[in-house]
Amino acid sequence: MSITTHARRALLLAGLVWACAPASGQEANLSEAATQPAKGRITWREQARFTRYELADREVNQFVLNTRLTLGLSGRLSAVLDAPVISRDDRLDGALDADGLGDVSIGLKYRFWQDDRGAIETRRLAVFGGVRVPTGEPGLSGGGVDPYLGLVFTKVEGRHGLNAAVRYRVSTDGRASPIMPGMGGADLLTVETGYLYRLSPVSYSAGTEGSLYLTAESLFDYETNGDLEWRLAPGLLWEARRWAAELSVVLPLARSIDERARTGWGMAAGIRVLF
Amino acid sequence: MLRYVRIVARSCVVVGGFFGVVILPACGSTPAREAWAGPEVITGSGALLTVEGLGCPMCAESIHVLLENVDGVADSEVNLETGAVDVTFHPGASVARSDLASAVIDGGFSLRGIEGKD
Repeated sequence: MSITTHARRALLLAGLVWACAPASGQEANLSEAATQPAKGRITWREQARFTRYELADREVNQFVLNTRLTLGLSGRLSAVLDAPVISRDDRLDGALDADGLGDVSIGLKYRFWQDDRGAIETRRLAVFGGVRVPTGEPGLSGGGVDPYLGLVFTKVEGRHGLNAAVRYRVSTDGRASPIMPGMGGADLLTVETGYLYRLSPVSYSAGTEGSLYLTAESLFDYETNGDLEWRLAPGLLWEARRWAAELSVVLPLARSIDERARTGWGMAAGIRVLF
Repeated sequence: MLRYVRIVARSCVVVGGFFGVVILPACGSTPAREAWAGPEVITGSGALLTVEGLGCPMCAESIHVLLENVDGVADSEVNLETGAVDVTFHPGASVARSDLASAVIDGGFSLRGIEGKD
């Protein structure tokens, strides 16, 4: 897919407009949210992600088992650890096969603004940042200590929820032939939007044990080398009082990639447990 | 060097523009813990709290667990739809209002009211 500079800019603008679309929450499956566990509590999230990449005439299947631990340090501050275990299968000749621990991210999220206007009505803003630490795994590690910084907005109003986040990660090193976005030498700008609609129950009660949500997420990656991708991820989320289960399908919507593999379709399934 | 200046400038424009659109219509404040400070205690069978900012069943569980850690609290029940939290005390217990408030605020929610139950 060849896109001119103007088309790229139009696509970038379209992605941002989508991200800024007013809607009215909860935490979606793949995008960031301005929510965090209560003080002293831990959320353990285990998410399996399958992604098909296309690099010239190669098809590369990648399976990631990502472990995310979030510790509530206060009502506003939390610490986050992300550790992905990656298995990559090059279906052409195995040249890009790789297995091991991918780069680990550690960070903090601070909710600096909150406006609660009803029992199920809240708007929140949080800033988050940290570093991605290289593990040095051949084929899987970016190689540099990459800092990132982002802002995230969450709105919950009745049965509707919206999360919108923007994140900028500086690349301090990078692989020569990266597969995934943000693994080369270019910086990565990510704009994520997640919309959630509570399918059931229509109304909460004191006896409500869980909720079923329909989720729709927009995932937009722009790298400073000009590569960009826009994916949509519809899904379902079941959230109980102490655990949640999530399932999403990731579909490529638009992309202009010259410096790395193109991201194809994917799936993500996971669980979250509140301790 | 010029590359990094451009990167920083672009990210400032994107981040600033994006959150300007979101923040401008908003007005409000972060919940204040100070409003509930003080030595006042509640006696009786329990208390009714009015909480705002809930959004999901995990929110209810967070408040429930934090309240159970307050000295004197035996149980609690959260109604997500109304934000009403029915707190039951141990017999004869006296519970500080500030402790109940801290449990709610540490959960990341706003406390709008506390009433003692007979």
